[in-house]
Amino acid sequence: MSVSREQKNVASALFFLAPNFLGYLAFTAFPVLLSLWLSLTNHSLKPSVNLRFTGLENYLQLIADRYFWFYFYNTVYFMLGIPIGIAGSLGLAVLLSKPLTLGRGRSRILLSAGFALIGIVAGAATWGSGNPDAGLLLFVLGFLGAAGVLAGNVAFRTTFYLPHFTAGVALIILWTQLYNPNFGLINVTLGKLTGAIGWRPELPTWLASTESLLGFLPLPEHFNNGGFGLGAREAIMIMGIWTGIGGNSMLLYLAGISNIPVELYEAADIDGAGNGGKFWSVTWPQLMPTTFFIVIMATIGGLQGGFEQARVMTQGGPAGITTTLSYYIYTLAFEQLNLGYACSVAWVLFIIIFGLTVLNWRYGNRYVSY
Amino acid sequence: MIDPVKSVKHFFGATLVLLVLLSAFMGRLKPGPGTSGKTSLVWVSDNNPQRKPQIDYFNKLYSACRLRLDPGNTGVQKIIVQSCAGVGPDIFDIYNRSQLQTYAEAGVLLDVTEAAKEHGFDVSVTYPQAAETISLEGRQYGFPCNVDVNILFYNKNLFDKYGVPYPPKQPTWEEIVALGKRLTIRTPDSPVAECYGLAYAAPELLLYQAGGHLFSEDGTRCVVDSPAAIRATQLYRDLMHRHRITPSPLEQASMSGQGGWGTGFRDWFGAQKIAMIIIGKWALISFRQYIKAQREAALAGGIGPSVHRGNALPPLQLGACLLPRFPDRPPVCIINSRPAAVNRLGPNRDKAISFLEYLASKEYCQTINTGQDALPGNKSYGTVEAMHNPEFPEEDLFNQLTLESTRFAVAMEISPFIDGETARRMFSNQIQRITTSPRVQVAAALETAAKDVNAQIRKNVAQDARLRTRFAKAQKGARQ
Repeated sequence: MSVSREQKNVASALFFLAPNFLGYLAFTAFPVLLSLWLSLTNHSLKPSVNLRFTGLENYLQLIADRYFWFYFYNTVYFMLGIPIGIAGSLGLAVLLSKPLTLGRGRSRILLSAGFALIGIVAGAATWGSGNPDAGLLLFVLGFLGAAGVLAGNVAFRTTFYLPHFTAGVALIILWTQLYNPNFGLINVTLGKLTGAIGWRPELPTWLASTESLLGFLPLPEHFNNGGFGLGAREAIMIMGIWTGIGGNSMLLYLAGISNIPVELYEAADIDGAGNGGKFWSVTWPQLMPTTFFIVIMATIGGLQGGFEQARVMTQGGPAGITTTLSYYIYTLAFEQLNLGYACSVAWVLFIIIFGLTVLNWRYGNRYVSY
Repeated sequence: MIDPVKSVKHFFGATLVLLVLLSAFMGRLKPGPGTSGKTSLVWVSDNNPQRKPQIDYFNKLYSACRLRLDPGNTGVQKIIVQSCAGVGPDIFDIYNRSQLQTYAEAGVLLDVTEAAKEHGFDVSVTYPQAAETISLEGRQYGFPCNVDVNILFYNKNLFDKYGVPYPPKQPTWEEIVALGKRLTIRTPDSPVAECYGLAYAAPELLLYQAGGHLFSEDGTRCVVDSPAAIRATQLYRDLMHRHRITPSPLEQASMSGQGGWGTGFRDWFGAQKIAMIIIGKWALISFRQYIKAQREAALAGGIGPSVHRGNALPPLQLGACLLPRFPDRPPVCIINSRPAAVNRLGPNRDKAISFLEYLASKEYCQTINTGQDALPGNKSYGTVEAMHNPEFPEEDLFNQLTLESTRFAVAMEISPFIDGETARRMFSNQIQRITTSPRVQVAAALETAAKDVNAQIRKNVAQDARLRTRFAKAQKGARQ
């Protein structure tokens, strides 16, 4: 029996796809299904606990688990920063999509050198006057300006994207220093700014505080609500917004903006639309599919997030207020060795993510008109 | 003409063949058992400079083995997961009783009770109070690399400078608070004190000193809401917020940015910014370095880090006494050890047991004594004479106080019904609330901690039939 060319091609394709597919089966599909099965058992890493099918017991227990709800609240609280991050990414993408040309030929080089020189002189002078942090900042700004003049928007796009490909742990250590209540750059700057207008408020203690912006809510006692203020939750949220603004969302928006037909802006010009009018009538509606995608991805990421920060920055504290569901799953599985229960939390998290994504598709889609 | 489909196929095919060949090549490069015929043993421990002579001695004494250090895989989770996957270390260090319990429950600890008797490293070889740190329910699971109890070190320079008398050999908390207040030097322009009176009284230490407990005797209930526990925790908070002699969490966070707090209170004591510190004699490893550096700086005409109110202090001069106690309570301190244990799932269990035997040997214990790395696990070598170092005769006092403290030391309690780390997290969550928020009532927070731990105990018991039987038995015993 002769084998047709098409059959041969299919066989070759399957042959080359096989390693990837087998890998997917072994390292993704199988563990996912296994975790579903484990969530219906009392599986523990403790040899003394005999494996037993418990049905929905873990799930019922989870509903009554007050820690689960506390950590779910923490997770959702961190997600309140997502809209700010998305708005920031959009704003940044709009700014960075504009062509930036300052001078030509020799004048451009001179302008760039001027920026660098100002950065060096101002930075060194400030550093020398006993303010090394501000000196370094001026130095960096000078060089950023110089790079911007020479390379245009590329320099700024790269700069804003930098946090996204910097190691997470390094960023966390950096931010921990920034949040130092008395000597961190944030409180020092806030102190100077408020002091300049003669106001001396009590500055936030950031990672050492259980206060939060929703601290006025009458939450259950075990939510360890420290009252109204800026605390560890806000500290982590601000860090997340800073990382998120220049991240993948910005790139997606940049790609989206570059795909908007120029004719639409020309038509808006003819109609006499200003910058604001063009943004609301052309850019924003055209970017709806991108925004929709970003919202879905950010929601998924937000519900899964917070592990690195909790593990490295705060160990889930103070008083558990920065413990997210992902960190809770980790402690259940690898500290309490209770894999069955950890799997059930993971599956509930999946159901929440899936449900929210379906809701997004169902109701968010109606705003996407392109 | 080149067929593009065929070219792509050939390209992928060639890549596949290349990857297979590379995998085979890398497989051959993987280190095997070696040609020397020696059994390779991996010890997961911290990368202390003392490890090298300790490992060299072992390799010399046990020529059939080749021990090497793996400092990159410390951590309970890593060891359990690696061991369950069959790639765990042969020997690993355990840093507290909670970890011992977690490892035992995970089934990665080899029960060495019989082997210990046979090879001479059973629990009778170490200090009686340290026996609990290497065994659970009468079964031995390791042998201490070292044993530690805290004493109170103080900086004589600071006491002299501020005209404060040295503490007595066995001070009370009232006396220490009074001294600490005189030694805590605050300036209006700095949020951090120039000098703190004391660091660091752990809440668990105060709890035991006040006569409190973490668990009831049968382990079925958490009792951190007892009056004794409330008294201890109130003192813990008062030391920070009322007497203000120990750094509050906020001050600790501030100090970490000044290059030092992150590495602990020890460094600040070494820099002469803390007058008294509760710590084990293992800290002398660092104190010796500070003293040396400060002496060199003084000789070179520099002032080093030890500046107080604009004046340079002489190099660190150490004094020590026993831990403070509550006036109406007997003295108590916590004993801890760092036992090494053998991986039950490892391939070289028999050879790894030799390492535990080595930990009880004179050669190993001598490295601990020379390096001042706490007390040696074998009490026969933990004597003032054996620990005497002619180079540092002043340290005899610290050795003597440490040995004396072992007599009234207690091991941290654990309950068979809850994982120690989980209980500790629930307790510290409430301690953090107490120290970060002045509105939180000590009694209410401790009640929450006890409630949380007890709820978890009930949950664990409900899940595990073996625990259920044991729990019922314990409760029945308690009623009788």
